[in-house]
Amino acid sequence: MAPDWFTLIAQIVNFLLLVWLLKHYLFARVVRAMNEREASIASRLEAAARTHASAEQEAETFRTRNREFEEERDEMLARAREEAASHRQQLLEAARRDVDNAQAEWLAMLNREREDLLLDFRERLSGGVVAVARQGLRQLASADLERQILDNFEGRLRTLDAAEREAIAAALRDSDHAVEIRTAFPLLPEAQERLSRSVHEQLGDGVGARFVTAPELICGIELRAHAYHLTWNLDAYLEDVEARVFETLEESVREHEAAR
Amino acid sequence: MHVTPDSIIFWQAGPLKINATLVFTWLVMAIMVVSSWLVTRRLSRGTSLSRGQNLLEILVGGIQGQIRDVTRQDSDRYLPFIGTLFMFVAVSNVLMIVPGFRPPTGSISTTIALALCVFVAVPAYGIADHGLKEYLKAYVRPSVLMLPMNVLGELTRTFALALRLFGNVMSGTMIGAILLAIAPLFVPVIANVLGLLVGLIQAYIFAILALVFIASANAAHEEARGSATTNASEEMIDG
Repeated sequence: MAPDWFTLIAQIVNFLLLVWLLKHYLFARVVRAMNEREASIASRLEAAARTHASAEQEAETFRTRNREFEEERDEMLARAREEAASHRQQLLEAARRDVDNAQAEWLAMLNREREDLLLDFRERLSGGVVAVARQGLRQLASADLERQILDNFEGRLRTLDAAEREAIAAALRDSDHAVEIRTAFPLLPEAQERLSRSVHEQLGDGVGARFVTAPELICGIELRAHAYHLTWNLDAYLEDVEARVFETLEESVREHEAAR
Repeated sequence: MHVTPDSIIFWQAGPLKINATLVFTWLVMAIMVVSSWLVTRRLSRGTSLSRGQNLLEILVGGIQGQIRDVTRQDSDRYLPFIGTLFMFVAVSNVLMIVPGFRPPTGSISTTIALALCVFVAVPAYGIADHGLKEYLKAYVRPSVLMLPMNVLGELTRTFALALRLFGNVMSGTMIGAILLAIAPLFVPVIANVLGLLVGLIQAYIFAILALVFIASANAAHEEARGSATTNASEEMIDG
């Protein structure tokens, strides 16, 4: 079983030849192909990783933008709600103001109307009272109304107390020592004479009297000594009547409001 | 019955002769080279591969992996030699099941030739890596007394490698022939299946052993050089 030397050498040559051939036709080519494929896969994986990273970054950007958008939207909604509430409040206040103004105007108008009504009423009432009084006095006595008034005024002059007399005397000292007697009706000469006499008796002989007609005095007579006035007319009675009428009207308004 | 295909001579002129070993070697070489050329002339660099390329890539990739595992070095330096060794032995042994085929690995001349190639490759790689002087120094380490032991180790290793492959392949063929004579029905089929397995295992063992010899010789030289360098630097520090 000794080796055949020629075969042995030939086999060595064959083997070396086979190594060279396979190195050339098999190993080098296959290894190169495998390396190239590995490199290409690696580069594709790297590109994919880059793309993935970029996509991730983009997604993160979009997420951030979405978050910001939502925050902005919430903020805008909150602001809009706040503005709407404030606007509503303003409108309500304006409406309330308008209503208050309208109410105030209405009340003022009502008051004016009431006052006008009362004034008119008072004028009519005073006219009526005077007419009634005049008619009543005329019917009750033979003397006319002026005479009654003069009598009444004379009585008043006679019943002046000391303080009133002193006040009239002081007023006369500051003036021209004359009193002015104003009447709603023109006085007859007898009546003027009689009144002058009463003045002399009550205030002193040196005191003169001037007679003036003043229609605004309602059925009355007035003595003026500079700043002092001594008056008798129906105005005081009329004011009393007016006060009562006002009181009755106020009560009626209160009852009406309570009922409403 | 021919124990070895060397004895089947087709043509002879003096010392020159063409026997079955050479003819079947050429046949195996032709099959390997032609099929490699056929597959590798149109290689795909992309992800879609032909079946042949896929097979070759698996084979080459597997051999590369084994080389990397054993040597812990770059596989490209050893791939052509170790890969050819493994594939030649494997293809020869696998073709054993073809009737009439005599595996060239069943010839002691072939196995000795392969073992001699390994025997030469070990110092060739060593010298290529470290230079002739450094490589030869390794034989007298740790002392000159070890020189005969080292040389004897190299020789016996090569001889053992050759005999192991020859014995296994030859015995497989012989057992097949004997079984055929004793029990010609079914039993030789099982023996052939076993022969296939043994043939592939032998191819693997032969290639791995060659690789281990080359790699360990290189590693031993590197270790020796490393310790020599360490000693020299220690001496310098002491000095």
